[in-house]
Amino acid sequence: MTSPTESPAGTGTSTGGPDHRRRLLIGTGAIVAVALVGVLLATVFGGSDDDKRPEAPVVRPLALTSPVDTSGIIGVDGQPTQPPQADLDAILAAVTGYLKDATVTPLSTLPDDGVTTTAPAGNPLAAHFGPVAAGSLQGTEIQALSDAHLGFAEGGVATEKLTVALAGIVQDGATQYVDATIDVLMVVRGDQDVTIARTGNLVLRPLDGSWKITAYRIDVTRTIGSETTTSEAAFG
Amino acid sequence: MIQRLPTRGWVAGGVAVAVALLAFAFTAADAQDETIEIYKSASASNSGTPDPIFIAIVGTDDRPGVSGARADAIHVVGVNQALGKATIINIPRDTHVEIPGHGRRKINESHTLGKAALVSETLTTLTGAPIHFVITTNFEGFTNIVNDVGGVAIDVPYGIEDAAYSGASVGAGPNHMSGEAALAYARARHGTPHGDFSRTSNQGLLLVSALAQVRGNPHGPLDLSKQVAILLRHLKTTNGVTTADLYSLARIGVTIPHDEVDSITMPGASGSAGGASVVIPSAEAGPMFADFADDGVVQNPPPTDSAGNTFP
Repeated sequence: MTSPTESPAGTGTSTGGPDHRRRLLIGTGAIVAVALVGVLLATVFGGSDDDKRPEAPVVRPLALTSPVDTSGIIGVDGQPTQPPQADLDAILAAVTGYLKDATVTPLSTLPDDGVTTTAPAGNPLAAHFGPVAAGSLQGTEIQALSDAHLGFAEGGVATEKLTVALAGIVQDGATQYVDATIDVLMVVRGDQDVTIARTGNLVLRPLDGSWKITAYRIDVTRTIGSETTTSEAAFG
Repeated sequence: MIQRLPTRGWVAGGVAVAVALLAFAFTAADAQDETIEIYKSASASNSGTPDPIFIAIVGTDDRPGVSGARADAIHVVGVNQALGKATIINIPRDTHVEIPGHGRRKINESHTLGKAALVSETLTTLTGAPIHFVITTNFEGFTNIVNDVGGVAIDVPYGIEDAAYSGASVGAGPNHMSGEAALAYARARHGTPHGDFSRTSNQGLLLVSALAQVRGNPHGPLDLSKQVAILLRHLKTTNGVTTADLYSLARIGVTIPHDEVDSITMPGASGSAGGASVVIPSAEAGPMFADFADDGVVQNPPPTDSAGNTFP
């Protein structure tokens, strides 16, 4: 699993004195020396093919490619309204959490990381669904809801598009439910690139303190070269 | 390594659910004032719509000058969301059943005696299916709803002339009924081949026709949310029906393909009890209810005549 490289932040003391520059040069020199030794050892002793493991794929984080559309959120009076920010944050976290566990995580998890790369037992997606809808996560249904069966993507996963439009009702200061229309386009790099277009609706409501998917209708189109497959999953 | 995808057809996932009257109700205009009531029973959870889900649709004769509203039309809709199928069981109003706490009576008295809660209990006793929601409307509500959506198109299997009682006057074949005409058609017992059985079957036909029409209206997430908001302003909700429940039910109602809905009238025979004319469920009714209760779908419906009536 590739972790994004984080840039250090907040280190901002001023620099530039002669002692500081000297320490900097010494430190840099030490790092270069260690690196050269490493290269030399690798050159001398080499490595067998058996030691090779797949490189961690380059994963483009799952993130909205345009701002969430909340124009479908209305009050009981039927007029557009904004959902409470805390609700909106929680809803988006639930939607992206599902998509991450359905697509990015299984596709970008190295086989020897201890995570199976085919549809695992004890479906991890269930945590994102309400108890009734979770009961439908089986058989062919799950192949539309998840890309886990595709296996590890050596070349990485890129999310080219992720848009979310919400419709729902805010009542008594709280969002009662949302129907999230999603449009996701991902490219999975491998021997042959796979393009995955996933569209549809996720209906979410708050259950026991977190937002869960209680109904869904998802269409998936996967394209490998000239071959295209489609599948659909729906519940509720 | 990316595995090659097997070529797959469409996963059977067309979620089909039948809450035709509710879906109809959701399209009603603001004029509705507490003519629609939704009751949520203890068997319905708050964690999403159950699967299968069972919904009773009840039309009462509540109107000016009539007290103690009885259930004039009683239908139980079973929806199997996983299978994408639904079944409407039409119960003749004179069906002689055990009403919990009140002995054997006509089923239409259950509403008089205990409103939606007792209707729910009675239907569960009769069918074995847990009734999750009861949707009730009256003559005025039904008429307004149909008028508000511009009437309903229905292919009538046989003509009915019943000016003396229900006021129904309809020819066989395609009809477009106003609210008043639809109500008369739904109430007509005289001038039909099999009396109460025919009336009950015709009500089921009306529901399926309404469903087909509603599905033709815009029903995207915002459309449905606006309709739920209208309903919230005018609905008499009881016993914990949530806004999310209403949206789920509305969504179920409009996503059902009407050709995946079976409308079956309870098989039974005319009889008498205590000097009153009643309907006695026939021997076929028990197995049919058991089949219905286990997954919301009746696999082997009783045979019907050309008009869709099921009776011995």
